Order: sequence, then structure tokens, then C-alpha cells
Amino acid sequence: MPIDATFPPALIMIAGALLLPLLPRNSRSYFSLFVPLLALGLVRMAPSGVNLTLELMDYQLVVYKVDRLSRLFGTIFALITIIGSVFAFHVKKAAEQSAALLYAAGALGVAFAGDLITLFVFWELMSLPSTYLIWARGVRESDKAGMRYLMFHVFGGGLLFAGILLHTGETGKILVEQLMARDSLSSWLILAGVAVNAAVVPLHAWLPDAYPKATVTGAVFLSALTTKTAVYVLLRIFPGWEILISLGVLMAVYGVVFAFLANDIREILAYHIISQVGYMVAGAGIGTEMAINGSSAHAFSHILYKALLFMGAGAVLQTTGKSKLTELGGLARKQPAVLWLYMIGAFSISGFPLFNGFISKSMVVAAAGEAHHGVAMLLLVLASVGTFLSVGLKLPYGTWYGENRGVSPLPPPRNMYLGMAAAAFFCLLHGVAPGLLYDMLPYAVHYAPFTFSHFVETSQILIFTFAAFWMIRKKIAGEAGITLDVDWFYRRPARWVQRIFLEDLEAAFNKVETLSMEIVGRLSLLGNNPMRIFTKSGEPYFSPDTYRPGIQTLILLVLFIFVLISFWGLVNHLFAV
Amino acid sequence: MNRLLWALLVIASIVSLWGGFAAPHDPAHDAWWNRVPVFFASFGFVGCMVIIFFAKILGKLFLRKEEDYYDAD
Repeated sequence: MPIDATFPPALIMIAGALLLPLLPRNSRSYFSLFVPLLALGLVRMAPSGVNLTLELMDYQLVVYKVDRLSRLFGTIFALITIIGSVFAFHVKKAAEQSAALLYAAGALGVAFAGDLITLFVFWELMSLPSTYLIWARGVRESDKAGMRYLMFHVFGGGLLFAGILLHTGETGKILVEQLMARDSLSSWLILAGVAVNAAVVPLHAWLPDAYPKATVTGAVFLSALTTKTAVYVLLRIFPGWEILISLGVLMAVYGVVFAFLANDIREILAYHIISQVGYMVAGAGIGTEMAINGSSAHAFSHILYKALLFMGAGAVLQTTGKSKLTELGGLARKQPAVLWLYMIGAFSISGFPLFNGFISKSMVVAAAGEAHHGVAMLLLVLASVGTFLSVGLKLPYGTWYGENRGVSPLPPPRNMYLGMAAAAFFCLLHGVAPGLLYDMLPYAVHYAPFTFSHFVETSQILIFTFAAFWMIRKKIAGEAGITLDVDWFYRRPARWVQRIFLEDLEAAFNKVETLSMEIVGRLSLLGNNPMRIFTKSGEPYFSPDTYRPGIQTLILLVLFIFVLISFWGLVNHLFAV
Repeated sequence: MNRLLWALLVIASIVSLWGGFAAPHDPAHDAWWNRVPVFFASFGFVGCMVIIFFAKILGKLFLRKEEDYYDAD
């Protein structure tokens, strides 16, 4: 197959990931930039329509299908992989670099999959490399959190696969298309499988559990890819499923509340992924053209500013070795560039005018209003108040201002600044020139973000959120400790599960084993002299001499009777004639 | 924060509050809150407080635990 405009970008990424470890150490970082750059070029050049099919038994797999929606998601997945690779340029570990490329390959593969089997294969391709990006941190808690993350995704993958099998069995179709059947188990299984990756509450606990424990650079890829591929699939397969509106709004508010309680700065950001993805899920649930546009645009913006935020928090962790609000403070003068680049991300996620959140989040909110979901709309606005509070105010205040705890950061590698600057550039670019993003959306855009009333509304919200924060800023500093979440239900009982299924079970097995060995031992002893069953006081070993006299008598008696009977017969025979 | 920034903030808040009265009412979004000029200012202020206290109460009641909660055995 020649490499031309119709070559699948996912395969380029896989090839790159496999080739990378074979290259000389110093050229790997350049290669990890080059591969996603090539993929981005392919995505942008690819003509719309089906570009690659494969025969698998009786089914025709549509491996590479391009339309406006998939091109949008493919573009941002490839773009963020480039930016992430710039940020991770100093990392010289082949396994981590390969894992990042393989993970992005999975995301690209899902975005361009035309059938459910291909989709599932790429879906599963994402889970192991992403787990590796958590494990690569190499501390005990990241080992354990990575394993929980993997188990959760194996579970979600199982749900998805069961749904796909059932769906194919029922309808005979394997194409990725809108599912309408609300009463079919297969649809709900697929929805549940996708919901795991979209971190839909209450299937979300893996995200704030694992992301804060990933490597500094790995978290950037994690924040961008898994949840947004799931959003893409929701937009593709489940637009207009009303339940997603409630779930999305729940996610938006839930994430905000839990983020406020978190102490680890990357955990705050992780909860805000759930909150922001909530907007996109709600948009998928509303399902109108404007809502789909809004969700897609917000996914695009979100990937950029969330990666930027994770890079900023990662830079703090990298340079100070600390990531908790209770251990940080007073860094503003020591690392102003990190602070300001982070703040561009924070202004974007909070929806400041002229930043990209302003032009995409508002589209989802407006779509909710237009579809007459007034309560949902107000709750989404409330969530954006909470977003500004935690990400835009509490986190930077606690990290760079607040109490000076004498933390002295080392200078970060220069490529980290470059990666952050690239993401910040796009946040500002789309904030100032939203047309660049709107032109890529799946439907024609009939929405003007820069209206007087929108400015007024946003500035009122932001200014008075700030006022409320400033009044009680001293009372809401971070507190040491952890926050329980739904993960309590599988982490806390873990010790009971361990006791019942491992310790007690092992004890039971041990008991049975000793018992059976004892029985076998006694049986084998008995086997030496089975006569002991009949005679109470027998010798331990069987000796034939013990029983010889008795048996002799018995045999003699039998023979004598035989002789008698024969003799009797002979006499009868002789005298009868 | 220095005085200049505070002054800018005060000006911005006055302008945004004035804008609430001056903004033309958009008939396409005919919700009751669009008719309240300072609705979003109060929503921001009250919403922020509500989130803070709601989260704090939840945390106090049962969500916040010691760092080694899951490891302690």
C-alpha cells in the first residue's frame, strides 16, 4: 500500500511507535515529533469518504472513513500529540515515547473507524499504552492506581464488546452509525462501555484516581485522548439520547464540587476534565446541529487548554517535586512564565472573552437554551462559575501566591515552555478568530459569540465570582488529606474482598489439603495390611504366615468335601446299574 | 495586587453592571433571568458561595479523609 493521501494516520502512528525504540537515543525525540506531524498532514489531506476497507470473514471492515466530524477530532488528536511530544522532548525513555504514540494511534483509529469491530480494536489499543503512562511514574501509588485504571478499562471494554456482539447478532450490521433503539440491551451496553471512557458519573472514578499519579508528560496525553475519543463516539452514535443531558449536567456540577475539595493540583484539573466533558456529553444528549457543533468545538478547545493546564501543573511538579496545595505557595516570582502560560489555560477554561473557552463552551450552553432546557442551562453556567473558582482562582492562588513555603523550583527544560506556548497560542488564536475553528465543525455555524449581551453576562459572572473568592480566600486554602469518591466502593471493600477471596479461601484450601493428605496417609498405611479392618490388633504390615494355618484348614475342608462328594457319586454310579 | 489592577477591576465591574441594564433584550432567549439586569452578577457571587459551602459541608461530613486512609490496615 503506497503512502498517499488515503493512508490511515493511525497506521503511521503504530508504525512510528514500533520503529521508535530501534532508533538511536538522541533522534527518538525528533522522531516522536515527526510521526504525529506526518499523521496531521495525512488527516488534513484525506479526502472525505471511505478510504480503506478490509475483508474479515463475512464482514467488510471500514478501517478508514473520513467526514467532517472525524476530521475535526483527528486533527486535534494529531495536533495535541505534536504539542505533547514537544513538552516531552526531554524524556529519553523509548517505552514512554512509544506508548504515547501508540495511545494516540488508538485515538486516531477510533476517530476514523467506519465499523464497530475496527472501532473496538483501536479502542482497546488505547488502554494498555495509557496505563503504561501511569505506571512509568514508577512509584508505589502509581503502580496501584494504574492497575485500577486498567481493570476499569478492561471492564468498560468488555461492556462495549458485549454490546457490539449483541448488536451485530440482532441487526447483522457492523457499521458505526446512529443507534436509535432505546429498548435494546445492545445499545445500552455500548453506551455503558463508552460512558466508562467518557468518565460519566458514576463510572468516572478511575480518572481522578489515576491521572494525578501519571508521569508529568504522560498526564498531558491522558488528559487529551481517552475522554475525548469517548465524546466523539457519543456524538457519532448517541446524538439526541436525552439521558445524556442529565448525565452531562451532573458531570459538570459533580466535577466542580469535587475539584474544590481536592488538594493535589493535578487532581483539581482531573475533576475539571469530568466537569468539562459534562458539557460535551450534555451537548450530545441535546443532539441538535448547534449542540453537536458546540460539543465538537468544545472538545477541540478543551483538549488544548486542558493539555496546557496539565503542562503548567506538570511543570510545577517537575521543578519542585511537589503537587499539593498544602506544600506549594509563593512561586509567582520564581517562575512567572509558567504562571502566565498556565493562566492562559485557566482563562480559556473559565471562558474569558478572547480565549477559546468563550467561543466553544457558550455554544453548548446556548444550544441548551435554544432547545428549552432552562435548568440544564443554568446548571452549566453554575459549573462554569465553579470552574473559574477552582482552576482560575484557587489553584493559581495556592500555588503561585498565598503562603510562601520556601519552595525553590529548578528551571524546567526549555522544551516544556515551548509545548505550553504552542498550546497557549491555539487557545488565543481560536479565542480571537473563532471562524478558524467554526469552519471545521460538522455543521454550518449559526452562532455569534461576540455579542454585547454575551460579554456582559460573562464579565458579570467572572467578576462577581472573583469577588466572592476574594472575600473568603483565606478560609478556602487546600487541606491535607484525600477525598473519597465512588472509588471507595471498590477500594475500601478491597480488604474484605482480599480477606474473603484470598485469605479465607486460601485457609480453606489449606485445611482441605491437610485433611486429604491425612486421609491419603492413613489409607496408604491401611494398604500395608487391609486385614486390620477386620482384626482390631493386627500387625502393621501384612504377613501371609499369620493367616496360613487357618487357610490351610479351610482348603483341606473344601478338598475333603469335594472328595466325599466325588466318592458318593462314584458309589452311586457303580451300584445303580 | 496593585492599585492599578484594582482600579481596572472596579471599572470593569461597573461597566458590566451597567451593561446588564443597557443590553438589548434578546427575544430569542426569552428566559426570565434575561430580564433581570444583574442576574448573572448575583448568580456568579451566590453560585460561588454555594459551591464552596456545599463542597465544604460534604467534605466535613464524610468525604475528606486522612492521606493514608486506603493504606491503613
